[in-house]
Amino acid sequence: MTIDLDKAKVTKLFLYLKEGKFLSQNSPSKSEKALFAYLEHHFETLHEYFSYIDIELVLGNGYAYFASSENKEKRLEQIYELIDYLNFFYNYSPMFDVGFHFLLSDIEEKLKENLTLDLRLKKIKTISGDTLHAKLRSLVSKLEKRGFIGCEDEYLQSYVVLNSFTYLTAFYDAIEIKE
Amino acid sequence: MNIEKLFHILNRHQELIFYLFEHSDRVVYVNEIEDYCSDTSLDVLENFEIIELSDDTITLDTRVTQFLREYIGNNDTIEISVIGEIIKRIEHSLEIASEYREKQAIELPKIRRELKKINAILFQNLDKLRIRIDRVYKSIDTFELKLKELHFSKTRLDEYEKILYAFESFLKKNSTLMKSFYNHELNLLITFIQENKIALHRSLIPLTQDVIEYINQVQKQNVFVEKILKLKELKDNFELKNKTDIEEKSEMFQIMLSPLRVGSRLDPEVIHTNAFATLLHKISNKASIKSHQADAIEFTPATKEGIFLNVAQIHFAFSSSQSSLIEFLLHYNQLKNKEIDELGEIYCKMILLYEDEYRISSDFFIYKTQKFAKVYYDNRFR
Repeated sequence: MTIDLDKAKVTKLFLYLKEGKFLSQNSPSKSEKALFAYLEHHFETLHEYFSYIDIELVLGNGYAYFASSENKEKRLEQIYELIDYLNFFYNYSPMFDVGFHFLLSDIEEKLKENLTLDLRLKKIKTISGDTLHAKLRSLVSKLEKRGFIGCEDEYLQSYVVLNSFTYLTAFYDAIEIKE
Repeated sequence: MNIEKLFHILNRHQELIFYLFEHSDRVVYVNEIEDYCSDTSLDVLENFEIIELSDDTITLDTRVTQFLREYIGNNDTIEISVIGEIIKRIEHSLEIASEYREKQAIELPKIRRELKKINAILFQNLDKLRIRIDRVYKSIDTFELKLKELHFSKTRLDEYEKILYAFESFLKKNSTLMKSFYNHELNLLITFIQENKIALHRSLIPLTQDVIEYINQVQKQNVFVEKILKLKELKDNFELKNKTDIEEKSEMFQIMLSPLRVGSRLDPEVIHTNAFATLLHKISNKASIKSHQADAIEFTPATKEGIFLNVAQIHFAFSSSQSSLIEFLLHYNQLKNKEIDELGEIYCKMILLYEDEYRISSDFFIYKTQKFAKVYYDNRFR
């Protein structure tokens, strides 16, 4: 069983996922892509391996993560936070979804033209920064840290929405609004 | 007009033609092109129907513009209805060629040319449709417009399919007649077109599926975006908990919110060996996380309870407790009635896993002759 596993790759995988970050197949990083391919290929073995230390490895459609059922309050906090983020990005572009590419400078341009968007960004309490640029960076880095978006070019500050984003859409889609 | 003269005129006024073609998307005034040609030349060009003059504006004749666009491949207009016209022309030529044998020398090359034309139009337009559909899906960022454009593309695809079938039935109907001319080139062309038709059908099926899929995705995305906006509104009005089942559904949200801390004094070299995996397996089994087959074990109440034991869950519960770990374990609901040896194992396992978050004091707790160091959850992590 564990005999087939590559020690270096498993360590890399563990160190990556233990941060609470999603690993996606369409990540712009070559090493992350390779790591995902490895995980997908050895999923059964890895799932069993991690289960020995009470960690549940989950493989979704083109993404993987370590599942956790931490306390409810914290979870709700995060769910609420993400509503603000999604609301902002859907106001920027309704087509914000897996595979969507964007430049930070494009959003900044739109912020100058669109006062509602600007207001929405300013109203997000969970992001830091004094200037609009800093706030925007903070917002983007929050999603990047979780592995929902990936940086394609650091110089151009271009990003792509990763497969893991479907986890969020599926979750919010399942919520029922009582009329 | 002969071809030589036409080329001569085009060549003489190439700068003007180039300018007009480059600016064909806007109105060009006559005074803009004064440097390129004289009034007499303009008259000549107008007489040869290369340009059109009206008041003070000038444009290239639509045939010239169309020819140039077709030639350099930037004509994105989808034109398939013309195939119907060409089919009628071929039918007419076939009739003449079959009735008047002496006319075959003129009519058969005409038929070949027209058939080639249909073949080219079918291929070009399928490519244009593919490019158009992709461009619409990727570049338009308003739902209504995107949906309209996708539906329009779907209509064009349907028209394309109809025309392809019409062309097929024309070939089926007339292939015997065409073969009866015993024209080798024509027969070769018919075989070639038949093969191409299969390729066109193969490309058409996934393209139609794509456009349907795109339409569905856009509609679904639209509904989802509306939902997020509504959730945001409810959140801002503090109504999210009352008006949605978010609390219930939050159970499904299983993202790891804080980085996992796994502390161990073991050498990393040891952790990655197979021996360690076996060791963990044994510990897990002893800690009552059973992995035996159901029919191999006797189902006593204690066994059932053990199956659901989750160390991480105990750890989270302990993180909000003020008591020491061993005292906590002794009072923990799921561990009641457990043997002290078993509790000892869980105690050791938790220290091993969450060492970084625990504070080991110098005091001891004595229970049934066994001595346990008092371990507390570190307040820094609360």
